[in-house]
Amino acid sequence: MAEKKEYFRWVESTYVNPEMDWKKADIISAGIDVGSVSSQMVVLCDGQIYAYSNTRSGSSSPKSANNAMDLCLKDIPGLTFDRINYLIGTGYGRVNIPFAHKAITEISCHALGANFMYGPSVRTVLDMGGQDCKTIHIDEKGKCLSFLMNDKCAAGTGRGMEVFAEMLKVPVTEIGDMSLDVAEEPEAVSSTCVVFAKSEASGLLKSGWSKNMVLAAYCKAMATRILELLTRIGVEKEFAITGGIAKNKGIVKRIEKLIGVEALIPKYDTQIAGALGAAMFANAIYKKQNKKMSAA
Amino acid sequence: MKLRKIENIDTTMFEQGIPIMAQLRDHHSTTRAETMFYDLTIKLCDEVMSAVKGGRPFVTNVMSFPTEIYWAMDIAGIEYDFIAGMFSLYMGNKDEIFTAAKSIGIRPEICSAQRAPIGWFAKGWFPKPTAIVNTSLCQCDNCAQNANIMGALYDVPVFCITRPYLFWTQKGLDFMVEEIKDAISFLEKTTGHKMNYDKLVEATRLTKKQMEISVEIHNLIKTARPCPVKSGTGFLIHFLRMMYAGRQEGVDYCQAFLDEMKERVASGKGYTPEEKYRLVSCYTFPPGMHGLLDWMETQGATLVAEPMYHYYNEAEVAKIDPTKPLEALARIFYVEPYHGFYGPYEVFSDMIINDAIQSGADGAVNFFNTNCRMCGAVSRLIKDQLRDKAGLSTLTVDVDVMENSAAVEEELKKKLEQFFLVLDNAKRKVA
Amino acid sequence: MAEMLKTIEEIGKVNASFPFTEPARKWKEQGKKIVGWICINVPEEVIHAAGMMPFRLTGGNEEISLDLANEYLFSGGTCSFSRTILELQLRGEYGFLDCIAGATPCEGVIRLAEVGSYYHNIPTLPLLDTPRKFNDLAYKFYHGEVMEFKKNLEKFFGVTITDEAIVDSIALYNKTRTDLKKLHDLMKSNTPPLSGAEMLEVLNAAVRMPREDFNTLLEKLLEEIKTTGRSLPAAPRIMISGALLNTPSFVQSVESLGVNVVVDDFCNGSRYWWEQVEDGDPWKALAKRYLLPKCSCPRINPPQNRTDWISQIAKDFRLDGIIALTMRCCAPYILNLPMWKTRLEDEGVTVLDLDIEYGGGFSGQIRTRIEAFVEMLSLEVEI
Ligand code: SF4
Ligand code: SF4
Repeated sequence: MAEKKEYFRWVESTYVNPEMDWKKADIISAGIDVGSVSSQMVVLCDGQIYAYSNTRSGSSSPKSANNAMDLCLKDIPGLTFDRINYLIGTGYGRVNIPFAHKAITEISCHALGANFMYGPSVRTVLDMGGQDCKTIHIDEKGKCLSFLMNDKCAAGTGRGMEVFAEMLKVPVTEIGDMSLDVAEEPEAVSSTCVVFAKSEASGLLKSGWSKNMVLAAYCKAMATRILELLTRIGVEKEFAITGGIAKNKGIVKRIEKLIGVEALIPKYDTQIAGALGAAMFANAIYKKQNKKMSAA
Repeated sequence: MKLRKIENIDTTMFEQGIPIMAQLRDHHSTTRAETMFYDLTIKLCDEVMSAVKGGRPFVTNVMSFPTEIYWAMDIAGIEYDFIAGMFSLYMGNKDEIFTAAKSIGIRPEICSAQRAPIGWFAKGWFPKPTAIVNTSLCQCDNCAQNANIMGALYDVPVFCITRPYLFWTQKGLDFMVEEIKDAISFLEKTTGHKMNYDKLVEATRLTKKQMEISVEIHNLIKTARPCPVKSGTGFLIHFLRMMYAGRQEGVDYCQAFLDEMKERVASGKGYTPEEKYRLVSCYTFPPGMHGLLDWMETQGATLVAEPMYHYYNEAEVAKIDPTKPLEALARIFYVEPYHGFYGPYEVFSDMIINDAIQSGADGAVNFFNTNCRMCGAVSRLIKDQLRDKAGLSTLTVDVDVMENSAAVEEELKKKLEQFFLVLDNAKRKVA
Repeated sequence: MAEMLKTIEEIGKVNASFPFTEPARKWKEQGKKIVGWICINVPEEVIHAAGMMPFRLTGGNEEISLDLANEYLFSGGTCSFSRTILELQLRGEYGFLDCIAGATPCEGVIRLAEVGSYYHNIPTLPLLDTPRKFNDLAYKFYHGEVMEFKKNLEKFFGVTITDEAIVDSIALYNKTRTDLKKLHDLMKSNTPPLSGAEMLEVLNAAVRMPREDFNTLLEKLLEEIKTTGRSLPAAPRIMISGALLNTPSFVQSVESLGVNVVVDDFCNGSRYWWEQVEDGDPWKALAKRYLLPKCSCPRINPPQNRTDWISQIAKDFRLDGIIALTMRCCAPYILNLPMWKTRLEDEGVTVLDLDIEYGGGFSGQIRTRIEAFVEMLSLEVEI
């Protein structure tokens, strides 16, 4: 029997920098970002990215955190949790990570992570995550100056995209490209609410729309919705996008068009921004504490 | 985003709104008075634009500011909530203005009528006024506060007339007179124009005239069968009287409204083929829903009473004394039925009940503005009172005054259809 | 954590049995009357001088379901504060009140009084008509309203209120204001003696028990702070701003993130004690005081006074940040916040605009937003 295909699936991934040796590091810090859809872990050696993992979230926050950690450390012989000097949890499950030394919100972490990933000229960060969206103004050090969050609703988020992928039987990672491959940009679906949008979409399919057109209409609606958050905070250059949906070109291109500003090109996996920021905070806090201790 | 002074004011959008009034006139008006309404609105916008372009003073106000003052001081003026709302309702730019308002912290739960002008100012679309004047209507918090934000956005001075809760008492009248005096000296200072008190006497005389005609209109609506007034036009006559308070055009409009009704009465024809459901409309019918009103007529439903717009008290109108123009202005405020609807509920619930009984209504519809803090809060109370004191059923629906989408119109049709069944049943029981 | 203060424990007990508090119960057992009041424009002294106990209508220590209230007060425009009070009235929890006195500061409480008096059975006195500005005209007008209120109260209970009695009551209430100010002056220290949550317990109790007894407790508290030298560790200093807040647990949750809530601008907080009733004709002085010209409410025009006042508080209490709570549908506050937010931010104070329901808890997104705000104040890490 053929295996049931799960269109919402995206590939879990890991990365280890082959040129670095964790055994030579003074400080090993880590961040774990437990989101509602995905979880990540980032390991830094003396403030430099050494390894990371990106996994689907499990049924509970502690489990998700464990999974991310197992996956991340699996390919690094000898490195165990005990060797990590400081670990910070972030994301929606941040307070339920049993082995974290501290929790910091995803807002501060994305701000700092984006600063590292895109450089000090970033002023506006849009984080499109699994279940919410936020816009953040940051300074040249990656400190959050102000932020806005959208209402809790699956629309315009990773979860919404997955639901759509299942429904149209299109792999979630292909939605963006397909939605851009249309002869003419359609009107946005009128509702971004996943439940309504689903029934609207099946109506469109029945009336003869191609999948690409339906996806275009949905991506456009999501972009419009996110536009409100961006307009409200006011887009200052440079502009960067973090989180899973940053990988969906169909949405990114449409947002860029709506605001008339291009987003910076990511050099890293955009999904790790939160965990990266957390790991950087962990590194800094550990250093500061140690300085205090050695001064004493 | 922070609330900062808007540097680029561009009136293009405002000017594009004006021809829309002409389109409405050509496509939606079925009566002479309606045609006049749109023409006069256009004229007012033109006066504003010509003042702006000619560097003459232009003042904008929230509903219920005594605009006789403009005329007597020779100032161009327009009501910001009415015009911003009207334009956005038909221009399809609601999302833009509401996002702009939200950017500075004005969230969607604020009454859209008073949020729309904030959006227009935040976008820099509204012509720059010399000054802004607002009122607390009776106690409406939105009217009383939004001008402050608009003033800060455009860096122009603001003055608010405070109205007491019990404004018809001697104390309330005295207070209003003082407030009106302060408003006049504020306008004298900001516009450089002086008040011409002779002209103010003339203006209050003309407003009184408008009201006297309005009393006649109301009497005719109550007594004539079938109903000689087109459903939903109360909104128009109200806003016209407000915009043209103290001006001959306002009197002419009211007269035309009355004359047209009289012709109807003479011809013996109403607007509905058969009046199956004579309804009192408690608050205001959603202004943009022309299709819904037409559909209601085909169903035999007529709004035979709109007390908020027509319920003038003849004896009180007679008390207006134009030779004492300041006191007259204060009294005019009191006599205006619209203002009764924002005061203590006993006042307007009596108006609704009496109007319903006198005009022989079969039922009531209460369409109130979703986020209106005054109307919504008492909707249940009014329903219960109409049942207890007049034996009438009420259909209560909240719809946003800035809403005119086809989907919402369909929803309302369904609700009305069900309500008509309720009324049919009630009639059958009586028979 | 600093040691618990005995007086705070005692004060906490008053609030525990809200709404019919222990002191209120005892008062009623003596056959005496209680007058419920809704808004801080109602002069409590007049009620006190008539021999009744003034009792403020608020919600309790937690958010409640508003199913009953929503039937009668449409939730699309009415704030959850008004609906909470109506809910408690309709549930009969305010049955111990002999009558209710209200004013007309905003549509929320006006409609609450009108609708409430139709559906519950507690008599409501005619509302005090509160002007939306302060100048001589408004003072004069409100003087008339206060005199009217006196008459209405006298008629309703068949009593007379003498000038001597009102002068005494004013002195008693001014004493509360003086002592609450003293207490708040102590909060200006880097290591304040009380947490914001404890302060809220004090403020809650003030309007739920006989004033004489409250003043005694307050004196005791000041004394206890002095003798124990109690102080809390230094932390970023914030103010919570908004219409009103009655849930100490909310403040406690905020403080658990590592800040000290050192002041507020609530109408059950600073605006309640900030201004004294001045000397001179007691009735005129009351009228002026109860329009709150110095620490004006957002409904007042023009809004400049309020902006200046908040800016002053920020300087006096050396604030790092302000959490501005705006209740859903609370038009006066929503429309007022932009008027001062930018100015305070320009003056270096971080402001968080937080929409929340009355009595609302500390969960999900609310928590994340407050936490991120606290991090903006405190996460100063050299990267
Ligand atoms: S609809 Fe209600 S809230 Fe809006 S302006 Fe009118 S009275 Fe005020
Ligand atoms: S000021 Fe706000 S919270 Fe207070 S009653 Fe009015 S609307 Fe409600």
